[in-house]
Formats: sequence, structure tokens, C-alpha cells
Amino acid sequence: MRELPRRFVPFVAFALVFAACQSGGTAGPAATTGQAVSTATAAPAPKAAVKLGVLIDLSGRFISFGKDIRESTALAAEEINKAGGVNGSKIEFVVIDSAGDPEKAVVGYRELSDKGVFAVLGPISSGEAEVAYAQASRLETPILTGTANKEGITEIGKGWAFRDTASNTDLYKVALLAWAKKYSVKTAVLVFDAQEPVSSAAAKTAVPAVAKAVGITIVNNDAPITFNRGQTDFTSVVQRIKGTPADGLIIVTAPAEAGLIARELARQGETRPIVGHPAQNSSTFYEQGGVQINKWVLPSIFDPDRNDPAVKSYVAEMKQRDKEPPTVPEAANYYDIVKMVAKVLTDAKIDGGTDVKRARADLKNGLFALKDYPGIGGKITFTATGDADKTVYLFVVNGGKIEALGN
Amino acid sequence: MTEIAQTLLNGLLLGANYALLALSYTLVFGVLRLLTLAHGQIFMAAGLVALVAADRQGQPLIVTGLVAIVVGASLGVATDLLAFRPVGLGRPIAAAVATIGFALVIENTALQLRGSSTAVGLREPLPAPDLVLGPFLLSTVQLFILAIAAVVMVGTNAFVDRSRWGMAMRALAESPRLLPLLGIPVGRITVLTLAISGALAGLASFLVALRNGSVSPLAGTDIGLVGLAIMTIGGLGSLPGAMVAGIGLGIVEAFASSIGVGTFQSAIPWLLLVLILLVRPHGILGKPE
Amino acid sequence: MIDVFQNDAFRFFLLFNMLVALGMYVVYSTGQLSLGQAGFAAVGAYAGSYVDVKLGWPLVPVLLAAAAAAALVAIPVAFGANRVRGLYLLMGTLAVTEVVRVSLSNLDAVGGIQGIHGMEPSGVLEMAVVLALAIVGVAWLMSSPLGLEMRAIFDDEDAAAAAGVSTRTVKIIAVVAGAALTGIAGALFARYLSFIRPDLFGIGLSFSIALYVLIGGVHSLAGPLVGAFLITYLLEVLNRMQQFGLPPVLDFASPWRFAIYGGLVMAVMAVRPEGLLTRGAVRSLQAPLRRRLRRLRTSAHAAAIPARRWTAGEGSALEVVGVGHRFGGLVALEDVAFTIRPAEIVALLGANGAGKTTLINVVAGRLPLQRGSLRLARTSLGRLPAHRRTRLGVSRTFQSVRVFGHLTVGENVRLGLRAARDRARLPLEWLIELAGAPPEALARDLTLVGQRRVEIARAVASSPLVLLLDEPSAGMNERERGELAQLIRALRDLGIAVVLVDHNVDLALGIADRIVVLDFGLVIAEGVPDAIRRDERVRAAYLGTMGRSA
Repeated sequence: MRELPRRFVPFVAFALVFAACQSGGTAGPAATTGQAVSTATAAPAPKAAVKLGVLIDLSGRFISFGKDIRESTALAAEEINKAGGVNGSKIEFVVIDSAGDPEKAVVGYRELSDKGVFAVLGPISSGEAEVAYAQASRLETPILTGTANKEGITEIGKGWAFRDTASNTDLYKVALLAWAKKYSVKTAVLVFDAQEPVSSAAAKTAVPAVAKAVGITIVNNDAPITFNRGQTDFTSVVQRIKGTPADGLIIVTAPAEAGLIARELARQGETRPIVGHPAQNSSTFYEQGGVQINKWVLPSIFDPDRNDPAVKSYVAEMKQRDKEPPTVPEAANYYDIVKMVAKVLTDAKIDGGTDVKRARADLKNGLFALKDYPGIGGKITFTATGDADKTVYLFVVNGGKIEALGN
Repeated sequence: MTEIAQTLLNGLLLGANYALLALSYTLVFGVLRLLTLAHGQIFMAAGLVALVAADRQGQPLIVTGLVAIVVGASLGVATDLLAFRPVGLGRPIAAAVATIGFALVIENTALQLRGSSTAVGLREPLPAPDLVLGPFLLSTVQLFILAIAAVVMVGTNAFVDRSRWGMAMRALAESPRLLPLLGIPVGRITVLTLAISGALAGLASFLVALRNGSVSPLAGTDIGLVGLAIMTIGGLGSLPGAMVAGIGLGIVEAFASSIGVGTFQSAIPWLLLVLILLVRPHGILGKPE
Repeated sequence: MIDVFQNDAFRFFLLFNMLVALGMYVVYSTGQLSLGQAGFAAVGAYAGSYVDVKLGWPLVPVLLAAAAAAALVAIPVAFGANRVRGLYLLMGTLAVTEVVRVSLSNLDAVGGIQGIHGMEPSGVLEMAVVLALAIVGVAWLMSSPLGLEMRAIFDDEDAAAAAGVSTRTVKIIAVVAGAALTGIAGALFARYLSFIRPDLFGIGLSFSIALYVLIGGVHSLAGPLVGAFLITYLLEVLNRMQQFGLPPVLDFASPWRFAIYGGLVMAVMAVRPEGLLTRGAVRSLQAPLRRRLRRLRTSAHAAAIPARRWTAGEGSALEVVGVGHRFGGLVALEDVAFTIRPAEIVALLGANGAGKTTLINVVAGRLPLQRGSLRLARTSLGRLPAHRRTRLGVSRTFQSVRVFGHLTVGENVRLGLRAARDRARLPLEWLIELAGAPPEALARDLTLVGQRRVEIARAVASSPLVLLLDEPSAGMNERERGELAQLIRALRDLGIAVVLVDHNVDLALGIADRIVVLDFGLVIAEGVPDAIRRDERVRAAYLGTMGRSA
């Protein structure tokens, strides 16, 4: 303590403890803070807006997701507001960038909850969702996610977390079954990105469990074939794949690496059927792999070609906004989420002036009560834990061409 | 047996790229005794600009390569002018921190302008068939890359060893205070060093793109760290060290992937680094300070 | 104004960042720039969460377990860190972060890549209490003699060893202590999130922690805290800016804010390369208070004037027997032997490259003893490291001045005093007078000659039996040289054996009792000054230099 004279130390210490005690006071029941905000906003004339928080990545690793989701949520809100809003109140978003950082996701969720939003939409990655859900269980502001595939995370939210997308398990259950049937696969080689958390989490837990359940034997469970995010040379990886006898390949990785692997597979003359990861259903993969993607089955939660006017209108509108699916198919989930929230709020006779605590509780209960909501991604019903029972669409890519694969 | 030989070959080809990148780091450290942490981002930006241009304009391959090299060199010069020079040569830590700042600027500008999606520019990079020599499968593109990398490495070494400017660079490395007394402008040499180094990063980026046709705006950090690890393993400031370590790491990684080390794959450069430093605290070919 | 402080989570992470910055400060104050801090945080977080979830331990034991686990992991790292310096250390510690992350991802006992959840929640209050305690603790540490030694190592590791600091031990303690603190931070982080996963503690976190300290400034306790505070605050506020309805160009809830942050990092480094709070800046704020404190302390020491001499009256102070040293194939010293008695001045003469400085380095323990033997009084110096020799009574100055620039003159001297161990101590006041500068001045603000005097005072402060002076008169004018000669005689009269190497032959011949002449590593003559002046071999080997300056 040459620098800060010794006598200052107790003051610093005291100030910190004092600040913390203050915080303990205000941080307690979030609803009271929220209430204060909502009465304040309710004061001005005609009708206060229904405020929804959007907690997405507008910088960092998942920025492309965030940008598309911002568009799809905005599109949904625009349509709702044009049709008269929520019981006369317009929908208004408060957007916060969580930068792909779990810390910032927690700060952002707190911020939105304190601001008195009725619900928070987002966050994008499982890592962010998992920590935000833990906060949701304490602050009791509903949080609705249309991305994040990790199993069981909604339970952390203790009823306040909703996920309108399929978990890895659900996706792979459908995909592996159909794939095994189509190509008569009994045994498979597991290949995954060891550095990228989403892929390695899926590959280490969901995939082996599901494969076992549907009767596929993963021949290299003890010695998975792995590589690193950002790797650009897959010669050795594919060489090893070729040297492992099995009926097919399960390749769990992000789109860019998947595209490179597809090319290397073609180069080395590897022709066995493949199941990819849902994240690979993206333009990066298709551009990167080109015509060399063959017998590659992909599950997805959205089919842009589905014969449904709502889907067609969504795809057309997004195209206008320069967001052509399937760049980020999950953006459709967020479109559904906004519409669903608006419907539940409307049915519960809630508008911008409603007490925040009541609005949040009614929204939560209303979402659980919803049965077979007709979203553009298919029918949505939430289970007791807050997960949606999603329709999984299957595609198969052959020579770079994407076709639907019947279940 | 053939499998081992093929893996060795794969590792060699992979290592050539690593070596080139590590060379660009090493050049800066060897001459200026300064660490740059922005070269991963320069690598990314050079490739990104070149590929986006290729995608939009459809220019010939050689032009794309030149664009990558020029962008790399310019950003190298920018590193000198914006990060190193304002701080001064005598403050290695502050200079390294300033390059972290520069790396943030480059990466986030790319993210802002492009989003996080990968740029795919060269859909059919080189229409060269693979060579099948007996049991071995060789990519002509890779051989081409290996040849360029080898030529450039030898050339860089010769330049630093033989040419007048190269000698001035080495003189700067030996005794920064002496140079002005000899009438050699220090500023010009630092700019030259960073321009060459940036150009090497750009070239490395282009060579990777030749094979992949794509660059992700997020690639900088991961590849930059691997480049740093290789430079350290080889011995800070040692050009031959960087090449040996780069090719060595390529071979180790190729074997690790052919044996299968699971999730430990991503720790390989770092484990190798720790092991080497424990045995040789100055890297494979580094000299004690 | 955007009131981000309303936000509980923001307050928490603000304090968390300040705490990890403090942990880094402890490590870096010994000059060890560690990028392994995220690894230590991870170990602490996992250990804390494990005993919490699996064993149900309460808060305090959880934090202690976290600290212990992080410290345990840090011990081998600290030993490894001791073998390497500079950028090798940087990269080696970065590897630690990565290896810890990958290892935890593969450790199924702690959930592998899925992580752990369900920890007992704790919040801002607990964090604030821990941070407050940590500030008090680190402040105490830094003001303790150990802290002084740590900061001396930051400035100059070799000189610190020469001043009697066990650099190895101190550096290890710093890494382990910093890791323990960071481990506690990690455990609190885990409890706040109620969830942890290996990739929450990646290389990015390590870099952020380093930036807090390097931007804030490392030469004061306040620096890292201010750095962490400002950076965290800035990024959060920029993220909120769009709530003012700014045009899209100014929408900082985008990569722009990180680009701006990067630009600011560059600007700060250009303007203040040592960080925002340099020691001078902090000190000027507190100068009046410090002066009062200093006066109190100085007068307290003044009472302890040594009543007895610490040196022996007879026998030999230092015996150099058959010492040889080679650098590769180059012979620097060959079979050098001489003895020096207490209260004697021996000057080593010889042309450049004759081996004078090499001999001093071998005696002081900076270079290993390759051949021959060294005895201090009755103790064999053998393979003792430099700092042990200083503590036993071999003190030195360096050819090119090496003071601790970021320490005050008073601190430089006090560091020397610590090496006196159980020998009688010289009065602090007298030593400060010897240093010739105000005790609260930073040593690096002095002129070269001023710094040399401080260095001599520091060497004398350890009450040495043998004092090795390497070129003490370099850069001094006539008057200063005269004072130096007087001082050296006074030191001899205290019973110190002085070995003097100086280019100024007049000075050497003028004050030395005996001269030893080296030529190409060999002793070619030894005797009283007058005899040496007349010695033919000396003239032959050494005439040029002697003639010119004599």
C-alpha cells in the first residue's frame, strides 16, 4: 500500500460494503422495480406500449443470428401493430446486445427485467440461455428462446423459461431414424469439432444417447474423430474417417468446417451417407461445400418451402429485408414467439398499462395453456418444462441441391 | 506403413501454412523485439477482402492473391504507424497491448461490415486434379502451396541474411540505438519489416483460401494464437525456428488426428508449447536474451 | 445519464472484474505478465462449485476450497514460470488457460462440457465484502517488506537478487497468491450465475484481465481497480447508447463498441504506456500525507544507530582461489586468486575485456562458479545463489546503473537494509543522506549520477562484509569523484572490504590499499599502488590505458 494510503483502506472497504447493502435492497423482488417503471410509463396519454425485451447478439460470434432475428421480430411486431396491436397497445422492443457473452446476457436480462418488459426474447446461444434462465427463476420475467439446442436447460428457469425450438436430442431422434431407414445404416462414425462448445456438447451427449436409442452403433465412441474450430485442412481427418469401417458418418460441426469436410470427403472418394448438425442448414455450408455435398441429411425446425400462406408471406417479407432463408432458419422461431406472446397477452386482456407482475404471470400461464399454436414453423405446444414439441423437417443435400426428405 | 507416410505428408503440407504464418510473426519479433497480436486479424482481413472482391468482381486468381498481399502489407504498415510508433520501440508490453487494440479494431470492423458469416469467394479455387502416386493421394493445390511457401520462406531468409535492407533489419535487432548513428533511418526499417510481415500473413491467408475458398471474420483470434504458439515453440525471433516449429506442429497435429485424441485436439499446440518450454526455456532454436 | 449501476448483474461483474484485476496485480507486480488467470479462475470456480453442490459446504469454506485449489494448481505453474521470462512466460501461461479449459471439458466428475449447476446463489454483497477484504489484504501485502521485494523484482530481477531478494521464492509466492485470489473470484462468479461451463473461462477472459491491469496501470493498487472499472463501465454504457434514439451510425450495440474500445486501448498506450495511473500521478495526490508519514518513520529509525561494528577485525574477508570462467570457448578468467582483508580497499585494474566484471559477477553469484572456490570469512560461497550471498554479506553495484526505478529512494535503501539480516544496521537517515536525494523521490526521476549514488547507498545498506563496486565513478565530475573517494574510505574504516573496479585509474590508485591487475583473465600483478605503477609487465600489458588516464 505504497499507493493508496493505508488509512483510505477502511473507507474503501466500507464504501463497497455499503454499496452492496444498497444493492441488496433494490435487487430483491424485481417485480417491485418493474412495477415502478410500468406505472411511470403508464402515465402519458393514449395507451402505453407493450414493452418486450430483445436480448440478442449484435456483436461477437453470433452476430449474423442476431441481425436476422432482429429483422424477424421486427417484422412480426410490425404486422401486429398494423392489425391494431395488443388490445390497442403497440408492441415496442427494447434491444440489448449480449455479444455472445454469458456475462452480458445476465446483465442484459437483469436490465430488461428492471425496465419492466413483459417478456424477454432471446438469448441466442445455449451458453447465454443457461445463465439467463437461472436469473429468470429469480426475477420471474418470462424468457422465450427460439435458438439454443442444449438439452434440459429450460428446467433451470423453473417455469419462466420457454424454448420454441428443438433440442439436439429431438432433432437427432428424427434425423437419425430417417437417415438409418433411408440408407440402411446400422453403424456410424462420429466426427466433431472439439473446440466449438455447441458442437462438442451435442456430440458428447445427445448424439451417442440418441444413436443408441434408435439402434445405431457408433463404432468409435471411445476414439471420436475430432478437429478444431477454424481448422482449414481436413486431409488427416478424412483419411481417418476413410479408415474407419461403418455404414455412415455423423458429422457435428459448424457450417464452414462442414463445407470443407464435404469437399475433402469428395476429394478422397468417401461416399457414405452423412447426418449433419442442424446449424449446417445455412448458406455458408451450401456455398462452401458446393456440389460436393452428397448424401448429407440435415434436420431443421423450419421449411421455407412449406405450402402454407403464412410461411410464404414470411419468406417473401424477409427477402425484402435482405434476409433470405435459410441463412438463419431459427429467425422464424422468433417470429412465432412474438406472435404467440401477442396472442396470449391479447387473450388475457393485457395492454401496455397492465401491472407488470400480473402481465408476466398471465403471460407465463397463457403460454403453458396454449395448445397447437399454428406457427410458421409448425404447431407449437409447450411441455411442463417449457420446451416446445417442435416439428422437425428433414432435408437431404445431393450434389449441392437441397430436397425435402420425408420422415 | 503407407498410412503413416500419408499422414506425414499431410502434416508436412499443413505445417507449411503454419510455418508461413509463424514466419510473419517471427520477422516482427526478430527485428523489432516487439510482439504483435494483430497478425491473426490481418490474416483474416487480407483473405476476407480478397475473397469478397473475387466474389463480386470475378477477377483472375493472381489478382486475388495480390489483393490479399497488398491488404496484408497495408495493415502491417498500419500496425507500425498506429500501434508501435506512437508507443515507441522501447516499450514492448505497451506496444503489444496497443496491437491488441488494433486487433479489436480490425476484427470488429469486419464483423460490423460483414456479419459473422463466412465469406466464400473462390468456389472452384484451382481446377487442378489430385495426384495419385501409388498408394498416396496428393493434392496439386497443396503441392503448389507447399512450393510457394518454401520459396517464400527461403526468400525471406535470404532477404534478411543477404540484402542491404535485411542487414539493416538485423542491425536494428542487435542494437536499436546504433542505427541512427550509421545513418540508417529506423522508421523506414520498421515500416518495411511490418509491410513484409503483413504481406506474408496476407499470402498465407490467400494460400489457405486457395484450398478452401473461404475465410471467416472470426478466424483471426484462433489462427493468430496458433501462430504465436508456433513462434514461441520455435524460439522467439528465430526464422528457421518458426519454420521447424510450424512444420513440426503440422505433423504432430496430423498424427494426433489420425490416432484420435478426442477433445484434447485443441490443446495440442499448447501442450507442445509447455513441453518445449520446460525442456528448452527459449524454444527450439531461440537464443537466450 | 445512463444508470447502469441500477443493474444488479452489472454491479456484480464490475466488482468481479475488479477482483480478478487485483489478483493479476499481485502476480504482475513481480513483473510476471500472466495470461493464465482465467485458468485459475476456472479451477477456483469448479472447486468451489464441486464442494458446494456435491458436499453442500457453506460459503466461507467454499471460497477457501476455491482459493486452495487454485493455489495448488498454481504451484507447478509458478515453478515453471520461474524458468522462463518475458514473452515465453506470456505464452506459457496462456497455454495454462487453454490446458485447464480442455482438461475441465474432459473431466466427467465435474460435468465435462456440460458444466455444473445448482450452486447456492450469492450476490453482490458477498462479492463486495470479498473485494473489500482483498483490497485491504493486497494493500497490506504491498506495503509489507514482501511487497517491496515484489516491486523491486518488477523493476529489475537481477538487481533485486543482488539486493538480497530471493527472487525465485517471491515470484512463486506472487503467482500462488494471485491465483488464490482469482480462484475465489471464480467461485463467487459461479455462485452468481448458478452455472459454470469450461468455456466461460477462455483465453478471452485472460486477455481481458491483463488489459484491466495494463490499461489501469501496474504501479499502484488503484490502477488495476480503475482499469477494470473504466473498461467494464465504458463497454456497458456504449451498449446502452442506442436507447437515446441515436442514428444507426452511432448504434454502439454492435461491433463498433468493441472497435472503439480497441481504438481507446491504442490511444491510452500511446499517451500513457504504463497505464492510466502511473506511480507519479498517484503519488502527487498523496504527497503531503506521505511526507508526514515518512518523517515519523525516519525519526523512528534514527534512534537505532549501530553501537558496534559488524565486521571482523582480522582474518580474510574474501578469498578467491583458482577461479576460472569460460563463455563457450572464450576464456574470461583463468586461475584467478587473491585475498582481501576486512577494512581494505582492493582495486581491480585491467583493460576492457580483462575479466574484471566477470570476476565481480562470479563473486556476486550472478554467474555460476565454474572452477575454483570462493570463501567469505569462513563460509564457502560455492554454489549459493546471488541473494544468499548478499544476505551473507557480499554486496555489489552494477556497471550500468541498476536502481529500482519505480521505487522511491527511501524504498531502495530500505530494501538494502533488509539484506543486513542479523548484522548491525546503519542508520536510515545516514544512508538516505548517502543516497543524496529526497527519500520520497522516485529513483527513475534522478540523474544517472543520482541513481548511482542511490545504488551505492542500497549496497551499503545491507551492512556488507565485502562490497563490490563496478565502475562507481562513471559519469561523475571531479567534485563528485572526490566525494566518492571519501565515502569509499569511510566504508573501509567501518571495516568493509571494498573491491573496486573503475576506469578512472587515478581514483583507483589514489584510494586502494592494494591493486590486482588482470589481463585476458589472468592476474599479472598484485601489490601496493606504488609497486604497480612501476611494474614492467603491467606497463607492457596495460600502458595505453594507464598512460592516457594517468
